[in-house]
Amino acid sequence: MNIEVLIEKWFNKKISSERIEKYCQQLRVVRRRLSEDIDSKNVRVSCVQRQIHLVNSIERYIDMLCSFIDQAAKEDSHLIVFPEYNFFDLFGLIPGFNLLNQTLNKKAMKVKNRNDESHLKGSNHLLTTLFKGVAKPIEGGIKRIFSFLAKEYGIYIYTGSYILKEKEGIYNVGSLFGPEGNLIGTQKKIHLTDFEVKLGTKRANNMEVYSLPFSKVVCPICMDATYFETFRIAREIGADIVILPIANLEEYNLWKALRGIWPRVQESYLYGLKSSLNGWIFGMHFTGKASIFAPWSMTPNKDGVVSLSPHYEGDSLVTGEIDIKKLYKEREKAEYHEDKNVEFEEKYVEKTYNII
Amino acid sequence: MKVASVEWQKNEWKRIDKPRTLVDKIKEYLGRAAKEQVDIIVFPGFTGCFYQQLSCPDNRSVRSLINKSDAGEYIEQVKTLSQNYNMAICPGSYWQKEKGNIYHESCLIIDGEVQFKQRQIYLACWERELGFSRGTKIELKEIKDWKLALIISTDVFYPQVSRMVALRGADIVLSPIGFIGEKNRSLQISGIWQEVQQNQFFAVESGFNGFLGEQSFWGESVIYAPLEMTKKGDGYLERSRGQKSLIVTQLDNEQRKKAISKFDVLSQLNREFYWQMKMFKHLKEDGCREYRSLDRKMV
Repeated sequence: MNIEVLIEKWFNKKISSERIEKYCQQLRVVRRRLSEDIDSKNVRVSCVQRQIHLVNSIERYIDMLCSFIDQAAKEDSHLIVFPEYNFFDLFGLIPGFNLLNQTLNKKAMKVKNRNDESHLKGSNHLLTTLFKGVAKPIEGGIKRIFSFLAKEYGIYIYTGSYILKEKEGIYNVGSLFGPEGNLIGTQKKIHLTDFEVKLGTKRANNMEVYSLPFSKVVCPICMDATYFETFRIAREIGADIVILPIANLEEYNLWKALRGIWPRVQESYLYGLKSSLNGWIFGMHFTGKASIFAPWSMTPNKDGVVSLSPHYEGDSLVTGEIDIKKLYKEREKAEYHEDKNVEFEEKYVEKTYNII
Repeated sequence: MKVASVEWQKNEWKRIDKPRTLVDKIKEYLGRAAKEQVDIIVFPGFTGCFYQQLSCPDNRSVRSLINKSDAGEYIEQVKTLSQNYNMAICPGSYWQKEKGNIYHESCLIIDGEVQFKQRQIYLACWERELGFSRGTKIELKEIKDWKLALIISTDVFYPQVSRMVALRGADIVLSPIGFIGEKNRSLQISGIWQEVQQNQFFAVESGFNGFLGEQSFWGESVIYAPLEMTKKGDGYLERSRGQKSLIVTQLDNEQRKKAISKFDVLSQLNREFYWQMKMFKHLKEDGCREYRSLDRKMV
């Protein structure tokens, strides 16, 4: 029996549906019914910023998720967004992983002036095996947990991203659940990092737009926001909100952070909801602030920020109000955006990307 | 490659009351740049429009100015000046009339010759209201083994323009700009700064802080590079901060290539995705008719 199969069996045992359901039934969630008529002028959204904390049981993982959803529900949010690689904590279920992880992290912390932060040297094969092994059990577990929590809390939940194994290929994906516990859709990552390419992750070639009662949303992942094309297409397919989970494998720097979703929101006149994972795992350091962005003209300080986490590490929940009707009005009066040039745009993809 | 960008504050523009005064000022800055052995200099966006304004002192509104727009005289003046300096000159931007259409245009002049021209491809609201026309093509020019492109003012907010020049191999983008409305740093960062970061070329931006008719403009002059090769990791090689009227810096293409190797954005483009999802889907649906009728209305 190979390692991948062993890992899968182990995780199937540790994240069994029986165990999840049993624990979820014991949770004392105060049921909340989301109003069917959410006013699109006043939508409350929450984005999670959280640190990786390895857990020794699925129950502790559920507790951690509940603490954020509970807070979002108390703040009357209609939607909560979890970060990229929202399952890393579950590697704590592997016997001895904690110790191995501590060693790898300490070693990495000692290495100063790392030239290549986005590469995990020498460990790609092991990580690929690990990701493939945990993919199916974690996918099943995450879907069961979030479906239950979305229904109990009466809230839309974006799961954050996890690994999807499909025909022996792995994808970085995230799912959106409705307040009835229904799976609305799952979006695969479209643009990969070097790290993911080395892991053998595959990328998607399509993006779905999901119609919620208050707005249309798309859910690309992290690196997808480095490319204006993602947001251009989001507008073309009718989106008003972009949900973007991130886990930035680099030391935090305001300017580096500004290469992501903020400029995309400014150029495409959409709302951007960014959730972020931070902390150390496998000797890798993730940083990033959760935030809610809007076109700069819509924000009080004229800086495009609706809400922003004060720190790039640690746990926090940022909540803000968004107004879709106001967004439409802003699009109409945007001085430097929203123009079209039919002749220039005709066959743009063919002309620009050398597609014959 | 040594590049320079000019920025004059509002009070300096106010002091320029004749076309000759503007030409003399341009000459003065060419002289200063020459002393620093600059290869390329960029003058502020709308400098040519300002010249046009000075040439028609009776026309006090932008609308009346553009009706008499003829950049020929201004370009000729800069062409003449250029013969005395060993550098490529981007004279800022100007309004150019052709077959009844008015374009916002810029160019690059070397030794008395216009090397290439670029028309603004997208229009701001105020330009649409005045009935301007849009350019449709992008040209690049190779000078001393460096590929140059011009991205004018409003086009810095349309990433499809920058992406096209990046994928055609631009090393440097020259960007004469000027924005209307309240001064806002966020707006300027959302322009060419972020285009440099997502395309990893150099950019030389020159901001207009003058006025045309009743319209006042603002914009900082900045020289940009990918974050990874700037001292503070902020993407700025040099900037005026409203304090300097001439900024100069040396561009190192080898360093830029090293920076790209650390964060190679263009290597992970997903062409199949852009092709399948039709980035400008509106062309296939109701858009074409709608936007053409909008153009007619504006004119």
